[in-house]
Amino acid sequence: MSVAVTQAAGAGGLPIGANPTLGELLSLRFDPLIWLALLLVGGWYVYGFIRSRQSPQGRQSWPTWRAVIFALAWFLTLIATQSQAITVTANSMALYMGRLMVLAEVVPPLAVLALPRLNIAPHTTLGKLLGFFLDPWVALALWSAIIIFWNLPAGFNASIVSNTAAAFLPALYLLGGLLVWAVVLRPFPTIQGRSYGNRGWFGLLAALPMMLIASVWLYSREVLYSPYVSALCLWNLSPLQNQQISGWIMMLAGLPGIALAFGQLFAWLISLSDGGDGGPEGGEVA
Amino acid sequence: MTDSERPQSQVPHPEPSSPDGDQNHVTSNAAPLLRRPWYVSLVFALIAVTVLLGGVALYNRVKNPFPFFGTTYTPPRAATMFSGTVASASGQTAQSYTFAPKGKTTALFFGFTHCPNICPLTLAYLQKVKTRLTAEQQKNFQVVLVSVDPQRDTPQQLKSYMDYFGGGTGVNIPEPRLSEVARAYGVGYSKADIKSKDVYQVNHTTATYLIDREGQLRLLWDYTQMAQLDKIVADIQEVMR
Repeated sequence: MSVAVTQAAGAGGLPIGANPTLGELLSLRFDPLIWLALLLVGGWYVYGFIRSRQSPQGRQSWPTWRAVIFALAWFLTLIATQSQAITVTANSMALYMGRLMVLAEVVPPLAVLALPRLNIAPHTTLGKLLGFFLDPWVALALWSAIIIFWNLPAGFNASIVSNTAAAFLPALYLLGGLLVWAVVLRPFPTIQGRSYGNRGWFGLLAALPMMLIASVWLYSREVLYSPYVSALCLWNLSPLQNQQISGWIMMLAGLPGIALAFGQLFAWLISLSDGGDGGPEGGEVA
Repeated sequence: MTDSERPQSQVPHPEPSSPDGDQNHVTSNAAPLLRRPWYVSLVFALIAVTVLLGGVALYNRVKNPFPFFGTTYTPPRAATMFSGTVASASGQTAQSYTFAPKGKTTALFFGFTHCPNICPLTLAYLQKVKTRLTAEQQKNFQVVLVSVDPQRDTPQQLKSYMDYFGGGTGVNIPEPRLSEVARAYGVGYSKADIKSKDVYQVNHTTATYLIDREGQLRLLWDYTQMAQLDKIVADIQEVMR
């Protein structure tokens, strides 16, 4: 029997079919554009953080723990986008999904929490831009489009056998996750609504596409994506096992978001029972 | 100075919190932009999704002005040259062989003659593809098979095998050079279903690599794509331009 192994463009380096160690998978590669983007973002944050040290108010608004969280988010982004794990995308759906979930569900909440409290005026250009993208309808629509379109077989297959596997799709997952978590965690209080109810419902709805996809992967009896059919997978896993593990990864990655959504909904209900008006901007919890 | 008058910095610059330090305390002009009617938000959402999906389509088109069916190497990279043994034209003797494009576009495949399914299928598809090229293009197109089973695939056996599929070059590369060449192309292979020293199968990468006449690795096709002959032909003709 001959077993197919698909191969993403530009792949190579790791022996396909071997059992790569964690060290091999995490060793870094060098894509200049991605490194440049990461360094620019990191430098921008560090510069702002150092500036904030110059005043007591700045230090209060931008505590050190936020910088530590940012460093963690930056490091995880580096690993998810610049490790050798990228080269075996075609040989491990689970590893591919693990990287995407780190970018969509782990890095974004950390990055949002790492932001200092910014009182951005709603009528400035930046305020209007954020007001557009952080509109829950817009964020939900973009996130759902990313999750659903790129996990339908046509979109997913294209991401494996085209250039989108290299950098574009991970970038979309990261940006989509940032939008969702920015709506949920509300880092821009002068722009975003306060209602726990709205944010709770949003979080719950935003989690549904991922849970749906994860369920399909978990319970499907056949491999759904042609590039992985009969693929020679890492660690002697079968393609179907890889698909099921990917389902678990996606489901587990979505759980913190769902838990937070339920927490916000409970806070909203408590507020309503305490006499809040429960309106779009009501239901505030002090 | 009101919030709307305050200049915004491109660097994250913390503004003082409210005097009581309550981060949730929002001024009276908070969130007016998000207090828009739901149908306006819906229109914004539709616009955003349209721009996203349209942008992706545009990105792919810019990345690949020609919409290649195969997975492209962007930018193209030099294909690893290799040497091995092939059968002579008469098939009676073996002779050394060094792979070089020599002005020809090459479809390179790693397989073995005992393969029951994917290798013969791929070579059969490549044979059909070749017949769809013009006579001039056929002269400038070659199929090369590198055996991942050098133990059993003699040069003579490889020649017979390739002749059966309309011609081409079957190359025997002994270990450990074979593993070096395979690795250079990102190809994996390993013995499987071993019943005895001479009875076994080989699991292997089934991609077909297209190398242009200047020796640049341009794209690859997964074997699941090979049945779509028209698209394969279009890829080859574009690379041959």
